[in-house]
Amino acid sequence: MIASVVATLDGFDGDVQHIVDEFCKESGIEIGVVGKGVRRVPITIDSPVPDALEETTKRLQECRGVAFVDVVFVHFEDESESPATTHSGKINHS
Amino acid sequence: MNREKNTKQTTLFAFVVLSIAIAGYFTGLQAPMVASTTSRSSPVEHLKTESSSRLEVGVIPATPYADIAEATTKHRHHTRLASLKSEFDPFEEIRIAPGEKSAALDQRSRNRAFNGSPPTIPHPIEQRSDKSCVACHSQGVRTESLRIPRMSHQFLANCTQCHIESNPRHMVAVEFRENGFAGLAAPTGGPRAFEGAPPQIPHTTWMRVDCLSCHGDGGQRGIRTTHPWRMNCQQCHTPSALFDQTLLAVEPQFLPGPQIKQ
Amino acid sequence: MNGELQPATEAIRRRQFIKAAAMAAASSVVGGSDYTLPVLADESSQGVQWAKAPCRFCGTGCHVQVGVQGGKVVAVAGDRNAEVNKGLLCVKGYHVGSALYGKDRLTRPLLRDGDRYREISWEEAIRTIADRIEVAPERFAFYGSGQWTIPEGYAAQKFMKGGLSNNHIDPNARLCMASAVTGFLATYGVDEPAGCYDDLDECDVLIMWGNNPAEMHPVLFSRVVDRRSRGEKVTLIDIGTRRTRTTEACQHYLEMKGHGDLAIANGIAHLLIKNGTYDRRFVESFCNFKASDDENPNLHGKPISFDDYRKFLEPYTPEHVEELSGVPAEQIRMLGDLFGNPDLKITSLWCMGMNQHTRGTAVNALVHGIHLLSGHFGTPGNAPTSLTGQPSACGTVREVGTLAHALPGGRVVANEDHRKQSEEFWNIPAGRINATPGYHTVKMWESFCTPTDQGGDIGTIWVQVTNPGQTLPNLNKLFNPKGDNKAGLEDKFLIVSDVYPTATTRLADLILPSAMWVEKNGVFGNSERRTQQWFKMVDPPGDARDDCWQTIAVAHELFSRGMAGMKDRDDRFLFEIKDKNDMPVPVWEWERYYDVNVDEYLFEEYRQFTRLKHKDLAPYSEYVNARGLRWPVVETDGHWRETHLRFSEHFDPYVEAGREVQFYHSSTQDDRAQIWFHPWIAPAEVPDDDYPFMLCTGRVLEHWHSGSMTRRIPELNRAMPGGYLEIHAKDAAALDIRNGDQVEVESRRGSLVVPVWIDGRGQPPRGTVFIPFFDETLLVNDLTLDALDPFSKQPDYKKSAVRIRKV
Repeated sequence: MIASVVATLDGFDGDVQHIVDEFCKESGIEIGVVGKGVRRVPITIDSPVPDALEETTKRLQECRGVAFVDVVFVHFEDESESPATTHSGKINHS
Repeated sequence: MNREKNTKQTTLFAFVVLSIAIAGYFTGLQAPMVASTTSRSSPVEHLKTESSSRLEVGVIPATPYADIAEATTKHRHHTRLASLKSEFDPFEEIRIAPGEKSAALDQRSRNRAFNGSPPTIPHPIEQRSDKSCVACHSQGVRTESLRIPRMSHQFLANCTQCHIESNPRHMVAVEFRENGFAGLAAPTGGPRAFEGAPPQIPHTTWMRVDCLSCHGDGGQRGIRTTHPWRMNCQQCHTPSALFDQTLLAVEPQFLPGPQIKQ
Repeated sequence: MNGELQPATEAIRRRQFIKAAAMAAASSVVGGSDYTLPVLADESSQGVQWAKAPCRFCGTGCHVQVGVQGGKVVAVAGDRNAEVNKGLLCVKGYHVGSALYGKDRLTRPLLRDGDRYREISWEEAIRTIADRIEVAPERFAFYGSGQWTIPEGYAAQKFMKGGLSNNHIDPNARLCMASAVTGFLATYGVDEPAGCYDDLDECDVLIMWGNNPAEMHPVLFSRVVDRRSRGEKVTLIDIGTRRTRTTEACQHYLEMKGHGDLAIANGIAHLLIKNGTYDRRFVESFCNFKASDDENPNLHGKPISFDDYRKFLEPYTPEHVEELSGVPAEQIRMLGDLFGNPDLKITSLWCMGMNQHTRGTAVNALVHGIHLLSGHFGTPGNAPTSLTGQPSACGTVREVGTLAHALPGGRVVANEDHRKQSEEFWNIPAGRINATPGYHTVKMWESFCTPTDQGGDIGTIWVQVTNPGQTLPNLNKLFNPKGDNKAGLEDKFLIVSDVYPTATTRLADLILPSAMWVEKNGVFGNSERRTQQWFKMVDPPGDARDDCWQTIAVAHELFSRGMAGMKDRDDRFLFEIKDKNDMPVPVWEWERYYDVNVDEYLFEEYRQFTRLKHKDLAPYSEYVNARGLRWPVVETDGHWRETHLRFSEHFDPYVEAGREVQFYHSSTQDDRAQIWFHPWIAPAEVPDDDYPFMLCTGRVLEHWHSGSMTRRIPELNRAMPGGYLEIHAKDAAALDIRNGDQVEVESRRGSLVVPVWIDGRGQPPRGTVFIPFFDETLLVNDLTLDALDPFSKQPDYKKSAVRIRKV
């Protein structure tokens, strides 16, 4: 499962770095380019199971300074995870 | 390694020649209607294509528009752009840099009186036949130097009914009477239910059935889709009923909610 | 499945790609706009209000959706709910909104002061007109057009015939479709087509007689050619005098010489009879035969027997027709076979080619005749249908009857009953309406341009919504007389209401700024009997005002001066218009004009006239909700139902049960149509040694008529900047002319210097040249002949002999 999300920062004081450091503690994520003065961070999440994706998203949401996290993109691995696709519907709830 | 470089150079060279050949479509096609000073026996000047032997092997010679309708099957085979492969990398990551979208919209507005009007044709055309239009625009292609949009609507047989030349070659478009018409601007983006949600289509989908005509690989940077592998556009991007002219005899109604006693 | 077969590296690459895509998607959101993503903010509609209106240009009658924002028209879209165009438009239609915003719109009344004009008030303008009329009402003439809305034309009609007892009112439609009218009258006893555009969806064969709908009626043409894209088979036949865009889409191109159409129609009739393939039952049940009566030429002609008819046609063998028309005998036989095949559905279309013709009435009647003779009539897909070039040529000119001889609803001034009925509807004293027809267009202008002491008894002409300074034939004779006989014209006075300066305002003594299209309410009637309504959407610029208001204001000025003609039997104003509380509204005061819907009031009054000829119209309110309705619109079971096919049982409510086909306005009072014989006659002017080329004039896709609107639309003007001459490449070579050269084209009446375009938009055969008439600086009508059809008085703009010289 690969998904991308956008984290929108709240109470943003310009110090993106330390929020990003916080994000980096999560496994399987990559942070996209964050421009100067931008208060949103593109992130991809690579996870073996759908539930982990959801968990990761939730934890990102709970990070300090994050207003909310939007799911932009979800890729369902149809060949290897076909039995799991039914569960993956849960992703939509996050 | 060396050989590979060589191939690359050949490809590059071929590509340059090719681009020039295609540009030929748009420049030297019909004699402009400006009196010639030298005397020639032929009353009509068609710039005939250079013999293909003078071109690099594998390069498709451009046929003047004026000749396309009359071109033989063989000839037309060369002119069909189906054999021209778009120069695009499916793995290319598409980013929309700031300003690209407004640049693209600005570019679009240059040959449109208002958002929704049929675009005018930026190149000379064959005056009486639509076959040459279809030869290129049924497929559409994009190379480094050239973008041929494919029709955004279903095939309609009388192209020049709606699309006319913006810069005809038969006569110089001298200054016309000024006109103060200020056309409807193109929307800059569709509304979203919430941040991150797929935007709604901000324009009518009438005559714009094929989203990829503008938003596909052949589209301009700035309005191209970032996810070209998703083929079912309207699955996520819904058209707005605001632009739908379908007449409803009555306004849609809803069942009344539960009556709650105070 | 595939995934398992792929090597691992491929899978990894794929994963990376998806990740990249995922990042792109996320980044695009981040980098997209300015992060103030509106939550269902309605940015896209931007407060644009959309409303319906018929297009301002040709007679097709497409409906457009007009987008208005901030009091201005900002966009136009095809109306998908319109049956005529089903959401499609042509390039003129898409840009019709720009026609309102040319920077040189006329915005103030202008009165001539020597060589210049000075701005005057509307009050002064109205008084000036009233002064001219009051002095000599019988020397006043009104010249209008098929662009008058129905209420505008009706007001002008009532003002002239019901108010001034003056029948000098004629429209430019005289130059456009008068021969179609006489053709319908001669054949069916009543005007306007029996069929409609639906036939274009049904026909197997479409024959275009001297018609280039790919450029002039593109939406209708698309309606046919797009059927092919859907896999339907339809045979298109172009009978024409030059190759056009239409030709390219046709399976057959029959290239004829001018007036060849007369021979071709006779050739088809000849073959139908010779091969025994005419529809005997149809002819015996529903038709009579007629020939023109040379001693007493009129639309009734003289009755002939079928045997006479057969004898008259005897000479028109395919070979003889080939000699006369230039069309190969084989192709004549093909047409004969098509018409002889009862299983095929055949529709004929024509417009100016057959109407602007010195034998226009004859050729119109002949084409109706072959449809009747072969029984290709009265069922869907079988119809002879004439098209019109103006949005309300049918609605205003033909139905309201703004012609010198006509009264509303198919009535004529010469008929006492018709006059009485009209006087009754108008509540005016008996005998007010003059029984003598007024001057038709060409005569009106000749009289105006002739000094009074030499018999030029028209002293003042008021022109509305048209541009005669560019479109009358033989302009030189009228407006640039040789010698000094212009000296006798000082007492003449030309009033022109228009939206832009034109070739006509140049000649005007008083120029009035008019409102146009969606700057006013309006009703049009298109080529297929469809009546279409729209509401005002934006304000006109400056002091521009509705044409209808201008007429009513002048009428009221005359009324207030006590002119008897402006009063009805009860001494009330001729145009007394009341509001919902039955209180008169002073609509002659501009500020009060839109206090009440004047259009609706006049339309309802006019509607009474429409029953006589079974052209029944529905109440105004029905048209508000519809995209036009085709008359007769008859109320059945509480619903107003339109009529697709006239004279045909199951379609036309006025056909008695069991009659199948009933021509209930037959000129022979026996419910039969007339099949005419007319001989082939050469054009009024043919090329000779001195003037070896035949000059044809016409339109182009981008420009509408005299171009006064479309040339001010940048997109259209850029595509087609100016006039040009089309000539065959070999003729050009023989004269040493190359593309772009300037040539002098000279006829017996005038000359013109024009650039040459070889193998351009059209391709004339050898011996023929073509010049479009839209360019006001290249007035091709300086060259055209003013010979008229004897019945319709319509000139022939398509056949003038010219010579060409390189300059």
